[in-house]
Amino acid sequence: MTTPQDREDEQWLDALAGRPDPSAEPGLNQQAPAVRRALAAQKAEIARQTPKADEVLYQQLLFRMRREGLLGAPAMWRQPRAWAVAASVVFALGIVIRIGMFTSPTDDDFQITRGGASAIVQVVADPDARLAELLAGLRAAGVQPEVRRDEAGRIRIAAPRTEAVVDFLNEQRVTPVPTGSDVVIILEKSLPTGK
Amino acid sequence: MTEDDCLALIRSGGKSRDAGLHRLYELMGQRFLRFFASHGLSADDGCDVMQEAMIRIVRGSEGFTGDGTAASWMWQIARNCLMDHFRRIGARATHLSVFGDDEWQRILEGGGGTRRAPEDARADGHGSAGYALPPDLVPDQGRVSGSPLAGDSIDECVSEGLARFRKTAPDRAHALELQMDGSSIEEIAAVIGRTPGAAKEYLSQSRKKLGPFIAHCVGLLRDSPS
Repeated sequence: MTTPQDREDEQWLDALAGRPDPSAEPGLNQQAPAVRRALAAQKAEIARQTPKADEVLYQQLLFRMRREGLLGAPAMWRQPRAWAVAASVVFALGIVIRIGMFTSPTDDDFQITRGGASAIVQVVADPDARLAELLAGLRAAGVQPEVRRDEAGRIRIAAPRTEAVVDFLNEQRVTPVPTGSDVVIILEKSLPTGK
Repeated sequence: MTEDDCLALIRSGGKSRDAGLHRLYELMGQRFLRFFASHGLSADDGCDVMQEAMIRIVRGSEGFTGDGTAASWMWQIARNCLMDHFRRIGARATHLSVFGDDEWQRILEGGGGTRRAPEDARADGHGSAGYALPPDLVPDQGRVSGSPLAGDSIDECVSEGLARFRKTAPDRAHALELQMDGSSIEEIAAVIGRTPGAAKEYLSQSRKKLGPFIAHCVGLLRDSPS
């Protein structure tokens, strides 16, 4: 049941919202608009002091979200595996550079038979990335691979043939695993596909 | 897209989460900033608390049970973040922790500028500690009888009273502002964390609590054209 007080409150709140009731008491219809004007003025002043929810602030928010691991995949630099891969790449590149500095590969170095018993050729889009993967795995298998690079950009990886190495290469689908005392893998860059 | 849709996207993870967050920011970012500014936060603090609220929303999105609207839930988080901010900086949110309904009643009854703070009374154990309301937070009892300062216009008089009211009860001032803006009772209810019925009552009570702060303007109101 609506009491007179309820009715008056309703009229006052309506007048505050800019909908005065002509039948309301005159004082009420004077006070509520005055409060309305004062509220509007304060609102404008507060709005002037309020920062804008713009793109810059959004990017700051995204940064915080990523830092807390709340957005998509965590940033690469936060992943321990990424650090391991990066370290492997740097290490491998260091070896390759050193080998490149102190050796002069001859054609004999890469005289292999594709799919032959002594070596296997892998044609990949990114030989360096594949090199990093193989080096990391071979080292984890307990061997120290030898890496050479020829002028054509081919990479030759040689490692002692141990059981752990064979298991790793099988996992990597480097098959058939070359026979002999050493396994030799040649990485070649695949040619770009035409459109 | 509603707040519920945003939450659904955020819960989906991956690219959907990114899209949901962006939409959430568009929907609520400015409103949160505005809310925090109306409670006296600086621009920097407002941005910080807004980001904290967004983070808590994303983090808690999995746990949102669907009881009530997503908007109400988000506003609850925003209010909690605000309270945490006040606690962090050591500033008591006077309107929430000190000015209970009993205290308001004393003010409305003309209790004047001094009263006991419950916290202080508990602290000394004897109930003898006095607590003075900051002068800028009390209704000016000397002017309630209808004696505005010379030169006051009705707008100046009401603005000045409203400014003191906002410092004392920013939540109530904000609710009245939403009413002034023409927000629906459901929207106001979501912001203040009440049911629509309770929000109506809250607005009525806010009108009453505002009364003493602008009572001294009555004389000017009588003289002003409607």
